[in-house]
Amino acid sequence: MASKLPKQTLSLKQFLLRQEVLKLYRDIIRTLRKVPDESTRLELKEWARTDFRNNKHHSDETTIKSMLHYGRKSLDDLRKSLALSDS
Amino acid sequence: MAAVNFVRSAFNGLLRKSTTYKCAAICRLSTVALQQKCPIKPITNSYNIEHTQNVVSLRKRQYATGPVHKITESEIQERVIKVCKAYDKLVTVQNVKISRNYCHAPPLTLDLLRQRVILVLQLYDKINPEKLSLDSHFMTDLGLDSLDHVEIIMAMEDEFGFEIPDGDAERLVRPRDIVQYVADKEDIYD
Repeated sequence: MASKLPKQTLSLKQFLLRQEVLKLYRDIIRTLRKVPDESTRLELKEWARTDFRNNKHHSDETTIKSMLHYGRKSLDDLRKSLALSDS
Repeated sequence: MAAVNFVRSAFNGLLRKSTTYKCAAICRLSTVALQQKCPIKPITNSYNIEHTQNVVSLRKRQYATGPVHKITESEIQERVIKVCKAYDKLVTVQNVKISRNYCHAPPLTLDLLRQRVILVLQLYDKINPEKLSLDSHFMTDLGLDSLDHVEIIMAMEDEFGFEIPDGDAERLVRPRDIVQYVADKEDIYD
């Protein structure tokens, strides 16, 4: 992940990638709100948090993109299992 | 009337022919006859047929017209309350009045809003409560990064119950900005 200090300016690509990551994080937290069980919800939140933070330091575009892909896939799985448990 | 005669004759005939299976035969034919002419239940109740010693006699006929007495609303109320009382999960059903209570959110003043924002921020584990003030910048003063920022904004969404879109969330970098934003959204002017 490119550096997040506001003093350093990022190139457009880096900036866009950063926005993608933040949007994904936000979507994950929003979807997690719908989890009915309280303890599972906290667990999943912690998991997402640590995952994002551990991978914060990447600066290589390809790595960031693959992480994004993995994150989006996980979010899709979460949404599908939520939809299944609701019906 | 025709049905009754038919049934009567059928009974007599059957009595002579089937002595061992009297009951079953009679019942069968009677039900068939009755089904053809009229619905079973009221007739079988109304024709109390006694079977004693090879003699089938129609005991009495009962006809019912419409509802015997008109039901009043107070009677309906009493009966409803009685049923409710019998249900064990309702603790006290004294005076069951239908009343609806709607309530708005608690009245939000600017001061209360500030307190709530500060409280949520203090509860966040990465913020040092001593350094926290209304004007402290999240990233420069409090040393948070953008992921923390996202979490804080989501916490504010949870607290105040409305969604904050991404574009707006980006600009909220101090607690004071958040207070101002929520006040704008909730129309709080004092």
